[in-house]
Amino acid sequence: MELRVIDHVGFEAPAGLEDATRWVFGDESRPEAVTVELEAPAGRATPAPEVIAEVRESITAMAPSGEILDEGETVLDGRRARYLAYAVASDDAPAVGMVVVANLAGGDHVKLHMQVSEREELGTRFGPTLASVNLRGGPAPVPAGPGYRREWAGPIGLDVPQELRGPRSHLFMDADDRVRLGVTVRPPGAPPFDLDVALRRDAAQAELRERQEQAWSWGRWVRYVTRGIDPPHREQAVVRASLTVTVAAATDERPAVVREVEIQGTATPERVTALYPAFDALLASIRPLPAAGPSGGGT
Amino acid sequence: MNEPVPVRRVGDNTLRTLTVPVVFVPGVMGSRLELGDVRWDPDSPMHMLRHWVVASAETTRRQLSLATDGRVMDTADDDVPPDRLPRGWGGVAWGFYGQFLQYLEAQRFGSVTTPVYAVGYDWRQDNRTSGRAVATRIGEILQEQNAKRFILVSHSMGGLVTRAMLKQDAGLAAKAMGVVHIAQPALGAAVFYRRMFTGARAGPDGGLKAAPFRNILGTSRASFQTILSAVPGAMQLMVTPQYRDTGGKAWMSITPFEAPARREVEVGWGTYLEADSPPGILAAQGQRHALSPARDQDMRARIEDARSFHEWLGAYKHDNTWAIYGDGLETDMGVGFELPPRSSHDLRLMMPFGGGFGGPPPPPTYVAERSDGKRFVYSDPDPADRGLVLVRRAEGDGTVPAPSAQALFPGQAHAVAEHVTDYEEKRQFRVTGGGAVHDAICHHPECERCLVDIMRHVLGGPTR
Repeated sequence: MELRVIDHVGFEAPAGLEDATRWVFGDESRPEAVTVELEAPAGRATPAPEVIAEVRESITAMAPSGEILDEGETVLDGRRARYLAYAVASDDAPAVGMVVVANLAGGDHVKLHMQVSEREELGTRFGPTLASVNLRGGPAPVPAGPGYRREWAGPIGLDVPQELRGPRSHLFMDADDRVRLGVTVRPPGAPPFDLDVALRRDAAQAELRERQEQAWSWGRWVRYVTRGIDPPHREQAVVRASLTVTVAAATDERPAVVREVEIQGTATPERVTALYPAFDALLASIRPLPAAGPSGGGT
Repeated sequence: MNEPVPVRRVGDNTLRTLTVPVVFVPGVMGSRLELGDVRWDPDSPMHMLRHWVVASAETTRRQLSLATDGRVMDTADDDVPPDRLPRGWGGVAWGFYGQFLQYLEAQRFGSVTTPVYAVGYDWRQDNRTSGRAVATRIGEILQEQNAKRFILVSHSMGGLVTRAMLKQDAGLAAKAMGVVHIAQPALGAAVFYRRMFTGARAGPDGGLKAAPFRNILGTSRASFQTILSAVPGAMQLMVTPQYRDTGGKAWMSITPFEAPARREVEVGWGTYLEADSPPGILAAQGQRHALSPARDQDMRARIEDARSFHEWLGAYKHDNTWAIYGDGLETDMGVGFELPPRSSHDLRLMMPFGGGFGGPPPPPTYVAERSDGKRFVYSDPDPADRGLVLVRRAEGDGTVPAPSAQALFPGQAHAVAEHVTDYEEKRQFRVTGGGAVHDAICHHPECERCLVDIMRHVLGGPTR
């Protein structure tokens, strides 16, 4: 079992489901971000030049004032890679970015996207990150040094600027996306996830059937089947859990430190037998990890 | 004639103002959504770049999937006046609709107060589902304003949503004083079918930059289909069997290479799922542009959803409906296919020129000559577009062809004219010029003037 950690909350990646997390390091408050995207669905082995061409086409066709600054070949952890740098002018938030794509040993590609607000920052901020990438998850070939920390995005290791927080949600699914299971840890201080709001929203869109639920001192789960109101009345199994995980007990000086955790899963009716056990196992694996690293993702 | 709004007198001379909320329902992708830990937020270029533009089609599909909870946003940046947030203005893309909402808000209708509400919706959902969500919100608005009736204004797919809402909810329909659909693709849009073969292209879809981030739906055949396979609402923009090109002509034609006689295709919902592509939209398993079996299955389900929706909705419209549409702009009216040869024996390799100075060699080029003497050049023996020939004419708003936009009132294409319009007879208005482009038509001066005139008529006052 693979242990995952999000902001002091540990859990085990569900067996039998693929990791479909989109690894975004950075949040909305900052213009900087690093995103790691692995080829999905696995096994397609799309060549890097095709992936870059799709990005170029998207920026050209979709982005306002999008401009391709540069494009060419580079090296990522010893493997040939393609890169593309772009700029998008905007009064509010001009953005400059670079996309680097390499095909891994098995053929599938990995895509790194780095985004900053000023062109000059691209190399200085993310040059060290690129040099630190280990496509097999090992130590950095060239550590980025102070101001960076080691992170993992699935099998890939990389150094990211300290300020960029890892994803607060991890997603797992089967190869066909008929079963999904996700874990989200809300930022410190955020209110608990409100299961009843979610239930009301689902009930407004579909008929809810076969509802079961269970509550205990620090959490509650509910599972049910939605049946579409309109023809052809599609059905879907849903599981939801809301948990309050104490990551540091109360002391005389301060109250307990808690994290609000949400688990959400869906499955088509024929795959419900895969969803429920995976949900149960995931729920049972949730635990506080007070000694874990700083806030953010990590494996 | 509509019944005028009764103006109640209190005491001898005091007028008590009545309130008739104006509810605006945007088009597809025009609502800002929270989707798990990402947002669909065209007002935030940085966010759109980070999470959508550079993402793969599969990532986009996963993010848009209905397995992810969706919620219309209720916060916005500084552009949106804070006191308008409770009226839902933050829920629609300000870059598309801000100017229009402010224009509507600035209008005065005598003693009738018309607070303008924007009602965003989860445009991924079936339009019937969205219609129910909009109905719930309108019920809340009427309660908030202590109002009995409202005026409804929709843009683009918002027209399908609101028609679905009114058809489902007779009680609410009775409270609608007037319904104005702007640029509604009532019978779908041919560009949508065309993108099933080409994806969104910078050439024919070059208007995209006028509405940045609005059309992040894949730039190739497979990526467009992959993304759409997750979005029942958007798939209901598919061309319906009732659509005909101008003059009642068939909108699709196919000319096989081996027997080069142009065949017009009568398109039904089943056509899209035919094994031969075209007219079927799905490449057969094993072919270069084929979707994975799961996504292929999803696309079939989405076509079934679209069929179910349109067969249910039919030609329904509210009794007090008006329509405004754009015309005169280059628009996909249909598609033609000059199919490539089935057998590679009919293809001749042309020796490429160039590439002799260290650059990459150009892609191989093939030539095929048809029995009618027509010569075709292919950069690939299995081109993505299957020999697709654009059928574009200046007969629409750049996205919606006029015959689809006119479908609620066939044959009506009145020019906008102030003061003299009889809105009981004239129900459908045509606006032209560059400003009539689909994504910007709401704040086209003629459209705005026409809309406000209709509202005056509905509210029982003079048209100016």
